[in-house]
This record gives sequence, C-alpha cells and structure tokens, in this order.
Amino acid sequence: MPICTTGAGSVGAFVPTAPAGAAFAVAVHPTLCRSDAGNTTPCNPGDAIQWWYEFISATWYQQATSGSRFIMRQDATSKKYYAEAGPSRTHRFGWTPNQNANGNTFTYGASVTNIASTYGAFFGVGTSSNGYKFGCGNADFTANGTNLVNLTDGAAWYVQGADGGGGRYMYESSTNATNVVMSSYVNGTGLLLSQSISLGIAPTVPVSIGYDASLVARTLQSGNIWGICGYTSISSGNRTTVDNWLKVVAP
Amino acid sequence: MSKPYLGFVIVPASYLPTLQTLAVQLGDGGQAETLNFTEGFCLATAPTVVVAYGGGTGPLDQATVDYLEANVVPNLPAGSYWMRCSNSPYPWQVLKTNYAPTQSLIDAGQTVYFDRAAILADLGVVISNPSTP
Repeated sequence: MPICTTGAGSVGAFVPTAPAGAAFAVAVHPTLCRSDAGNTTPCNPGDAIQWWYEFISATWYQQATSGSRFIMRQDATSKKYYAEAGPSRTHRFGWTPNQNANGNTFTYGASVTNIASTYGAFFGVGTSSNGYKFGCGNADFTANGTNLVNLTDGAAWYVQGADGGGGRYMYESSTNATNVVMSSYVNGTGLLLSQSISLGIAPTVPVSIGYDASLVARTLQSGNIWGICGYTSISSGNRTTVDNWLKVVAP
Repeated sequence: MSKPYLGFVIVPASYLPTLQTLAVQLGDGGQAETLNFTEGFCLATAPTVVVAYGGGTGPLDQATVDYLEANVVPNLPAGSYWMRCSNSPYPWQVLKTNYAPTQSLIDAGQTVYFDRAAILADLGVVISNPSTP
C-alpha cells in the first residue's frame, strides 16, 4: 500500500499497515502528519497537526482552523507519538465530508463519504495524571455538546480515567450506543486504551471525535489519540485486531 | 520547539467579530479561522445567555506572542481574559495572564497549571449549553 503519496517531507521508514478490514485509518507519526498549510512539513512533537494521512484511501485530510488542530506529542518513555486534544473544545477530529458548520472543518474526500453507515470506530487514548475526557458524536459537536449526551440518531460516549492509582472507568452516555468495548495495556508511563463505538447513523452524517467542551465545567480533562480506524461493520474481532494495531502503530 | 506557547482568550460577546478578524489576519487557515474562539460562555446566574466567547489558539512562536502581547492583549475590552501557557504535554503550565489572581501566584513563584474549570468558576461563568432549561 502506498504511503504518503502526495506532497513532500516523508521521513523515516515507518510504514503502517492498516488493520484488516478497516475502511479508515490514521496514525500519529511525523510521516503521517504535517503542520503547514502547504502540506509539506512533517510534524514534530509540539506542532499542531494540520494534515492527517489516511492510509487506506491514501488521502491527506486538512484541519484548516488553527485552534482546532490536535498537537503532536511523544511519550517520553515509550517514544510513541500521540495527538493531544487539550482543554479547548476546538481540538477535535472528524472524518466525514461537510462537517458541521461550527468548526469541524476537516476537508475530506468522497472516498470516506459512507464510512458512517453502520459504522465502527476505534482509537487509542492514553491516560495522564489528570485523566481525560473524550467524546464522540454525530451531530452538532461544537455548539453545545448536547448531542453528545442526548443523541437521537447516533451514539455518544465518554472516557474518563486517571493514572497512578486513580483508577479508570468509562461510561456511556447514550442508550443508542452499541457495542462499546474497552481494552487496555500498560505502555510506558500509562495505560493505552482502545475504545470502540458503533453508530447506526446515516451516511454522510458528520462524525466527530475529540474534546467535549460541554463537560468542561464538570471535569476538565484532556484526550490523547494514538491512532484511529473505522470499519463499516464492527465485531469483537475488529477490536482485537485494533488493539494489536494500536500497540505498534507508532514505533 | 519553534512554537513553545499556547494562548487562550475569553472576550465579551460584542468583541467576537473583532477577534475573528484578528484570527483570520494572524492565522494560517484563512476564513476557517473565524471558527476559533466561538465557544460561548454564560454567567452562572444566567446559564442560557451567552455573554462571552473564547477558545484556544494553536501553538504560537515567540514573535507572534510578542506581537499579541504588545498589540492585541492591551487592547482587549474590559472583561477580557488572556492566558499564555506552555506548549507541553497537558496539563499546560500557565506562564502569563491578565487574570490578576493567577498572575499573582505566578509572580510569587508558584507553578500554575491550566485548570479552566476552576478559572471559569472563579469568573462565575459556565459553558453555554442551549439545552439548559
């Protein structure tokens, strides 16, 4: 599978392989994330990720709004790269075309238009000493976050955890969410959790993953992404595959 | 790191258009930059009325910070709050702010980390949530 077939600035020999059966996959790595508007400069730790490379469709996706970009980090112990969605709700990630009018401005190609149909998504989130809170919703993620709590046509979930003896837990906020599973393994200084969600929503409905500001006033946390992949159907087999993939996706 | 800072701002609602204009001028996303700082805030006593907007910047280099703190921050209207943090793994350290209580702690040598929930609580504001009854 070709990697980084557009633009310049590819670095190193890191060539991820997408999980079997996945329809969408991104990972955090200088080879796969770029920082400049011209899509030529590989991200380094501390850089905002302006372009993500989806390596199944071989497509670069841009987040045009500067304050909405995740920031690349690198775990000091494991050296794994991750994307930090800090306590600004403008940091978020989505992957369907025509994101909502309030800021999910990734410009996606038609190749992933239908990914939200009977959809499964997995991504890894790392813990920190302050834990994290993360949301995924299919509606107006920006205006109020309400749809993350009371979705009528999709699902929402949140993850909250704390390292260092604080325990961790995950709770699901929508009865519409199905097949929500979680696994974990110890990685460096913290746990790496693989979260999955299936959405029975119509194709082209925007799906966003990121920091949910509506919950800031309750618990202010950050979220970290290690990698994301999506399926057009979801199964426990997918989950196992993704769990293993997340462990190696960023060297 | 070439961009060692992150910025956060809250401004009165009436100032949002000006802030958006600045964001377009200073950012690298063109008109998409108008989507920055559009997070609505309400007084805790009136949680359905948006009185202020805010949000975070992307990573900032020293030159941009110097420009902002010399030309933009001093001209923010009354009731605005600006904070510069370290661009380091979360929780970010607050390095400078016009929020006096926090700056006093920094001036006294204390290390202050970003805690927006506490800051908003101190300011008496809450995140806008139109579903709030």
